[in-house]
Amino acid sequence: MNREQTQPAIFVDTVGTDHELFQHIHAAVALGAKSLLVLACDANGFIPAQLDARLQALPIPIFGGIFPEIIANGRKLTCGSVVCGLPVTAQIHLIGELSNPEADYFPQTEQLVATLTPGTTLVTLVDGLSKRISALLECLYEALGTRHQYVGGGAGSLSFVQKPCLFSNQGLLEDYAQIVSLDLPISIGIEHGWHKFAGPFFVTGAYDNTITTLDYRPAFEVYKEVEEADSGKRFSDTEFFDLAKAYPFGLDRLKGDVVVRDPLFPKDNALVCVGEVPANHIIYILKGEAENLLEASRQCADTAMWGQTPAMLALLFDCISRTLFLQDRFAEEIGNIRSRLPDNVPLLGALSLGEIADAGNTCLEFFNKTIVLGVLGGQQEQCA
Amino acid sequence: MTPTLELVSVQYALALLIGQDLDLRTMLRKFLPPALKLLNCRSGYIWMHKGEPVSDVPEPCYSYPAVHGALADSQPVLATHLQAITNNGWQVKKPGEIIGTNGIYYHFLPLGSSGLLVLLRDPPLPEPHLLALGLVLKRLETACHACQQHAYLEEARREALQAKEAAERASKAKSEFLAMISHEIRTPMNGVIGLTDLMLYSELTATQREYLGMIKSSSSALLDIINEILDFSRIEAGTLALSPASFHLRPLLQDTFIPLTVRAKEKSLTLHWEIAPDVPETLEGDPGRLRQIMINLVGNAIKFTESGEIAVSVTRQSGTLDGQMQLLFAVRDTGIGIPQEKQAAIFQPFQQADGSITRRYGGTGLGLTISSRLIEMMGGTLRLESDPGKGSIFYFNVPFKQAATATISTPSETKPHQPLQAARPLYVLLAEDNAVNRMLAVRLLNRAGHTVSVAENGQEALDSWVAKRPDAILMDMQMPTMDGLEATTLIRQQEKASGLPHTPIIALTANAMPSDQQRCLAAGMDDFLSKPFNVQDLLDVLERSCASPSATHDGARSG
Repeated sequence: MNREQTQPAIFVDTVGTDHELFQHIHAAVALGAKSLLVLACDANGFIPAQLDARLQALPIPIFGGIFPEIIANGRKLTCGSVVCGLPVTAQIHLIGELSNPEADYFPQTEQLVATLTPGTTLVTLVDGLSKRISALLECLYEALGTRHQYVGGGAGSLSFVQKPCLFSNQGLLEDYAQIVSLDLPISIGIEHGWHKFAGPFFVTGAYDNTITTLDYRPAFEVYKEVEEADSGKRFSDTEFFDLAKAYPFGLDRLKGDVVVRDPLFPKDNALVCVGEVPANHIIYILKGEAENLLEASRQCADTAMWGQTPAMLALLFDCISRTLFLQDRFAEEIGNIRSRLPDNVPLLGALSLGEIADAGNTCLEFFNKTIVLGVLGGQQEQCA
Repeated sequence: MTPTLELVSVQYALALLIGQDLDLRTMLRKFLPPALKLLNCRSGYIWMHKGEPVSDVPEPCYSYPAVHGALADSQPVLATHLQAITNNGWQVKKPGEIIGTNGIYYHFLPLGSSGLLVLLRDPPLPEPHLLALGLVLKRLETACHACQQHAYLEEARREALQAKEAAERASKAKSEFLAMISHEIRTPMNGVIGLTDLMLYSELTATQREYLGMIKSSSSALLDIINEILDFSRIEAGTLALSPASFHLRPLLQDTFIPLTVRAKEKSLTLHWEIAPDVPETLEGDPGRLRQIMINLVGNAIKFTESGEIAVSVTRQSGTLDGQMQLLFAVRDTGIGIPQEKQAAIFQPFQQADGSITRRYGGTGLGLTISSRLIEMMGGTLRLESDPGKGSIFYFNVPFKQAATATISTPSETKPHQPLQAARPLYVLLAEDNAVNRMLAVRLLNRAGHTVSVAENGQEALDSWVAKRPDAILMDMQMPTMDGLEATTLIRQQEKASGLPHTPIIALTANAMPSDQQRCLAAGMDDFLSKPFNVQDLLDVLERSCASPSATHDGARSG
């Protein structure tokens, strides 16, 4: 990359060592990258002590996260990293205490109004195991509203143990959100392919990302009854997530779709989900068929590609539970998306713990079990 | 889900989002964002109004997302339609009026008759949903009113609290001012009373003696008034504290009532008192303040009684607490009495039952207030029963501890006006900056047989002490150049450093606060006499200080 370069420079490491990672980072810097997006696999086992000093010494902004798995140049990696040198300077803002039940994020998001240029794309990455992601997104949208477009997802480990998972110039961060402003246009597709299977249920008790009761009964009890009856399997002899990955919750939206919530694990007969579940809402238990999910990936790519020329980079946030559900057929999902992108447009992505996107006609939402594809166009000034 | 169930579930969820806080913005913030998500809307705006047209496009009281800058800039279509609605007294054409422009549908939904919600959505909401929303939005209006009312009440409460605090500050400032002025008056009063005393000891004609007697009684009356104002000011400023001590109750009351008996007799009234046999001889309490209360109550009884009698009784009450007993003090008179409707007012400061009372009987109107407050400080309540034309009974219960027999303070005996002669002549250093008071003290001390050296400030007193050490020093607290406290501290330091004998130092001050006394003693003074003082008290304190073991007279004049 040189000063005139307008395309991203992508470096892929399939070994998953910190040495390889920083070799690629330095290579991207040497090519004249103005900022760095790094996606790494949880299996690399990166810890702050390994990376922080070198991240802090970087001369350009860096953002990104550690995810259960990643997509590099259209391939799914379970180990390794991808470094993307961007031709634009990213403006990065960090918001911490993402699980603090007392925190009001609005004062911090309101400060962004004065610093962010309207019209820019906000890549929004969060620690996916934080408890108040929806509260943060609510404050972000309250402050910035429709002045920006949003795309992103939740980083973290499929072990569901919260740990440092966001790359920054301060080091690896835990329980943070990263709001990254890129002066690039974006076109977004959001689809999931799940359909209502059981319900409706009233969420009669919930706090943060935990559902305590459905129809005034313990949430796990209700969920277990429905799921065991349909699957013929028992939670008593099966790992919770192995069963639950096929039966997410769906928050009902009026005359529209459902917003999916992924149950992570039971806790004292309550269910902990990825992202908040509001009390007193109608909720369904959803079910998916592989064909429906794959069809969703096609629709998602079609929507994202609509009107975005010239495309520069495709950024995918695809829920990790979709790979667990689709298993071998997940390659078809990636293939569906890849096939709809121009050959010269690289596809990078993360298999995430929750997805973030602004559908354009509703409020900003935190999704689960969903595909969010953002197709970034060329730099706005240069397009003009 | 059936359409009916969907409508009900939406109403249910929305209704439960309403009224989660009493702060309007917080309440709307907890309602609107989740409501918009539930309804699949892009944004929402809420206004509260009073139905009157407004000239400019009003900013919403809450919106999600927030509006930055003028609404007309960020939402020109909405601003235009809103202006039309406000021009029409906030009337929408029909509840749920929808205006669609460029793929965005603006839903104008009234919040009852005093608010408006605008939802932006694509596609537009169906008619049944708009109607279902209408019921919910009426509840939202009520919740908004509750928040506004709460804010109004909170503001009123805050203002009332601020006004109360300001009034209390002003009252305290007034009390402090009164205390300061009273103190300033006591200083010249010391000169007036002292010099009158001094002149009364000299050769006088009968007329001169009569005039001086009148000056003295007028001065004493003035001093009583000043003392009342000072007491009241201290009570109001919260600086008055009781001085508990052990005392003999019967001699105290006897000593108190004897001069009052003289006054009663002058009006041909009978004053008699009775202390029940089971009332202990020795008590723990503030004898000075108890005496002040009794003087006030019995003095009032004499003042407002034209014929008949005044009777005082002290009895022990049953039902006492551990280690304490309740004594009931009652003062009954056969005076003018107090009408029922005015009984509450007489315990308030500057109040007497009737304005004409002040003109007829005089007084500051503070005596009962002070007595009442002092009784409260002692743990009791002053009460009144009165029958106009027949008389009144003022009575109060106060808890006392029975005192141990040791260290009983006895009331000072009333000494005869003569002989004004010191038991032993002393060499006294007087540090006093006020020329009149200086002259008065010098004359009184000389007349009693003492030798006096004077200093006008602390520095002169220190120099004089170094040059020729006196038997005792009378030290004013407030003096220019160096005050009495600093001079005392320096004298004590030099005594300690050089192994010199202790010179008794007695504070003389018009600062009559207990805290002043503590400061004097902390600086190293031996005793304390507040102005104005009478001659005998001055002589007594000198004799007491110089007789104490710490005072050394031998070699005191060795310079």
